[in-house]
Amino acid sequence: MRARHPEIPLLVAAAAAWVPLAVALWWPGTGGEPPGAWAAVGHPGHDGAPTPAADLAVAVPPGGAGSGALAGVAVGFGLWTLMVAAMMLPGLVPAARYAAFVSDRRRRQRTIALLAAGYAAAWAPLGVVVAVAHALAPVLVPASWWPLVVAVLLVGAALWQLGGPARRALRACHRTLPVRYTGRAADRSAVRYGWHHGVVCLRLCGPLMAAVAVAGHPLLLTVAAALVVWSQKLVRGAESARPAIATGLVLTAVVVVTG
Amino acid sequence: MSTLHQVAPDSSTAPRGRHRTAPPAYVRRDVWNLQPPGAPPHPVLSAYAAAVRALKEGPDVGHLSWTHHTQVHGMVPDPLDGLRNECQHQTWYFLPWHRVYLYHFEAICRSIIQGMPDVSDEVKDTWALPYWDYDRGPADDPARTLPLAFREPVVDGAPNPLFDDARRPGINAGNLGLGLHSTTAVAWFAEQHFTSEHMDVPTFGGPVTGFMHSDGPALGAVERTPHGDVHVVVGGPGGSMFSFERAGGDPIFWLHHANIDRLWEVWRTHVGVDPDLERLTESFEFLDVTGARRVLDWADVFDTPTLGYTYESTDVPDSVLRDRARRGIRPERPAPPIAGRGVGPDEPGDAERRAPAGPTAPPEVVAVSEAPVHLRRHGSDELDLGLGDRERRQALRATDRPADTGPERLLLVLEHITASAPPTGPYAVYAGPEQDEAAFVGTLPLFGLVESMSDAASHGLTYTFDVTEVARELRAQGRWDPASLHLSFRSFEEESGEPDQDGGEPEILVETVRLLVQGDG
Ligand SMILES: [Cu+2]
Repeated sequence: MRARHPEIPLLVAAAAAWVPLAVALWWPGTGGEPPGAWAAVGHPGHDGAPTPAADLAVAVPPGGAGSGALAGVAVGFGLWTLMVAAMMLPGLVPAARYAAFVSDRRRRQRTIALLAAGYAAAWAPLGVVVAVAHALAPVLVPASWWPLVVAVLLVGAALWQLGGPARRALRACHRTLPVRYTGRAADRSAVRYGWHHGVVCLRLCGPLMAAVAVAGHPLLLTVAAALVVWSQKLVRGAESARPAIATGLVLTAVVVVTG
Repeated sequence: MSTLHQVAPDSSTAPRGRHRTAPPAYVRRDVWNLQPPGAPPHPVLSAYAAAVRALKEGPDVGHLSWTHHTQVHGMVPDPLDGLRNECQHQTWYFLPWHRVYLYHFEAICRSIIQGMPDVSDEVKDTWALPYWDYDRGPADDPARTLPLAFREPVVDGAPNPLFDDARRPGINAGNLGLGLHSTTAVAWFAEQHFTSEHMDVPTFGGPVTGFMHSDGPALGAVERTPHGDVHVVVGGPGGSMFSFERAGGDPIFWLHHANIDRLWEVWRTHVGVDPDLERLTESFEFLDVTGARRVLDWADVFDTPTLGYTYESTDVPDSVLRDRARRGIRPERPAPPIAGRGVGPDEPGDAERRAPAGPTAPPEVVAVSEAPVHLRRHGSDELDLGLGDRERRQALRATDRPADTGPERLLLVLEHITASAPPTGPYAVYAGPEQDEAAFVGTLPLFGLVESMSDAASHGLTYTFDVTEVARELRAQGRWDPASLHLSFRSFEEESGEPDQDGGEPEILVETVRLLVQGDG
C-alpha cells in the first residue's frame, strides 16, 4: 500500500491536525480557555452565554494587552500552523506523489517530510502577521466592528479568487520542480519544491485562509474553506468553479455582518 | 446555392464491417499522389487553394473567416468564448480534438468549393482534405519536401494562397526535406495503449488529463514525432508552424494534421487498443459548416467513416518496415492479440478490443540527473545517469526479456525544459556517445516549449520515451553499460547540415532527466 501510496502518512498528518483544532476551537466548553487565545466568546447577537464558534458566528478577539498578548500571538501562530496542516496538506498530495516517486524508494518519506516542511515555511510569515493582527485587534478595533472586518476580508478573498493572479496561481499549482534522487541534493530540492509550491498556494488561497483565521476559525467556514481549497488543488477543471466560490464567499460575508 | 451532399467516390473504398451500409465516405488522398514531382497542380489542390483564398478574403470572424480558424487553435489573449484558443496538446485530447477541428474545416472548405462556378462537378462531389505523408522512402525522397502547390509565392500572376512566408527558407525552396528522425513512426507504432493514468508512461495518444488548452502534462508518442517535429522543421524558429497561435494560419497545417489523423487510423488498423468508451465523456464544440455552434462527443469520433471520410492508405509506415529490416525482424510480425478497427457493441469481439489501458502501478525511477543539461546548436552537453546496484539490476531485468513478450519497459523522461528565447529544434537524443541508428532514442521537437513557459500554462513540456529496444540492441552489441546511461544530443542544424540562423543562441535547459522501469503490476 505504502509503495503505491507514499502520500498516506501526509494525509494521516493532515487528519491528525484537525483533532487539536477541534478540541481548541469547537469542543463544547473548551472554547476560550487559553488566555489570549482566539477564544470564541459568542456573537453579540447570541443570548450572552459564551458559546463556541461552532457555526458562522465570528469569534471576537478577547481584550487585554501585555504578556497575554504575546501568549496570544504564540497560540494564534500555533493554531495557524495547525490550520495550514489540516486544510492545505491534502492539496499537497499530487506534489508529494511526484517528489516521492522521483526519489530513491528508501527515502520517499524523508522527501515528503522535507517537501511539507518547505511548504509550511512558505505559509509561516502570513501566520505571524495574522496572529499579531489578532492580538492587537482588541486595542485597535472595537468589538462591534469585528464582524465587519471579517466581512471585508471575505469579500477581498472573493475578489482575489476572480482575478488574474489567482488564476495564474491555480495553473502554476500543477507544475513540478526538479527533485533529485538521493543525498543532500535530494534534500535541498525537496525543500525548494515545497517552498515554491507553498508560495504558489499562498498566492491562490492566502486571502481566504487569512479571512478564516481572522474570523476565529468558525467551524462551518473552516470546513467550507477546506473543501474549496481541496477542490481547487485536486479536481480537474477547477478553474470554472471560481465564480461560484467567489459568490459563496460574498454570501458568507453578508451572513457574518447581518448575523 | 449548393447544399452539402455526399456521393460515394468508389464503393470499394468503403470500409468493411458494420460500416458497409453507412453513408459513403469521402476519401482523403496523399498530396504527393495528387501532384507528383513534375506534374501540374491537381484540381483537388487548386480547389483547396481557391477555398483558402475565399476564407482569407472573408470576414474577420465566424466560420467563413481564415482568422477564425487560426484563432480556434491559439489566440492571445484568450477570448474565453469556448470556441477559440482551444487547441489540445500534451493530453489525450490531442487526437480527437484535432480530428473534429479538421472535420469542420474540411466541411466548410467543401461547401465553399461547391459554390464555385469554375470547379468541376466531380471535384465538388468528392473533394476532401488531402494529407501529406512525409514518412515515405529514403531521406532524399521528394515526398519529404514541401508539396509543390505550397512553395510559390505567386501563381498565375496572383499571390498564392497556399504560400506562407514564415516557414524555414529551405522548406519553401524545396531543398530542405523532413529527415528520417523527424518523421519516423517506429516509436508510436510500438505503443499498444492509447492512454495511461501515469504521466511517465509513454502511450500512443497521451495521458489521461482534464480538458486543457495547450498545456497538458505529457505527450503521446505520435504527438511528439512526427507531429511536433514537422511543425518545428517546417516553421523554423519564429515561423508560423512553430507557434500554437499562428500554426493554423499556414495552409500546410491542415495537410499535416490530416496526416496525423490518418496515423491514428493506421495505429487502430495495425496496433491499436481504443480506450474504454465509458471514460470518454468530453465533447468538442466548434462552428460547423452552417456557422452554428456544434458539439461532437469524443465517443462518436473514433471511426472516421461515421464522420464521412476514409484515407487513401492506412498501410504500415515505411519507417516501420525499414526499422524491421534493419533489425532483422520478419515483416510479418504476428498480429497483436487485440487489434482491429471498428466501434460499437454490434461488432463481435468488441469488448476485447477495449481492454483497459496498461499496467496499473506507476513506473519506478531508477536514476535522476543531478544537474541541468544545456542543449546547443553545436556541442550540446552530454549526460551520465549513474545507477546503484539495485537499480542496475532492475534496469537489466527490463531489458532481459525477448522483444514483445513482457510489459516490463525501460523508460526515459526529459522534463523541466526551458529556453531563454524562442528556441530552434528539434534535438535528437542518443543513448551513448556514438550517434548512430542503434543508439537513436527519439527527438525533442520543442514544439509548444514557448507556450509551456507562459504563466497561463499549467505544465512544462515533458517528453517520455520507451528505450527498452534501444537498450536491448546496444546490449547485444556490447555498447550498453547498465551502471550508467550516457545520453548525447544533436541539434537539427547538425543533423540536417542547415546553416545557423543569424543572431544569438537561446539557452535551452533540460533540468531533469529520469530513467524508469515500468513493471507489470
Ligand atoms: Cu499540430
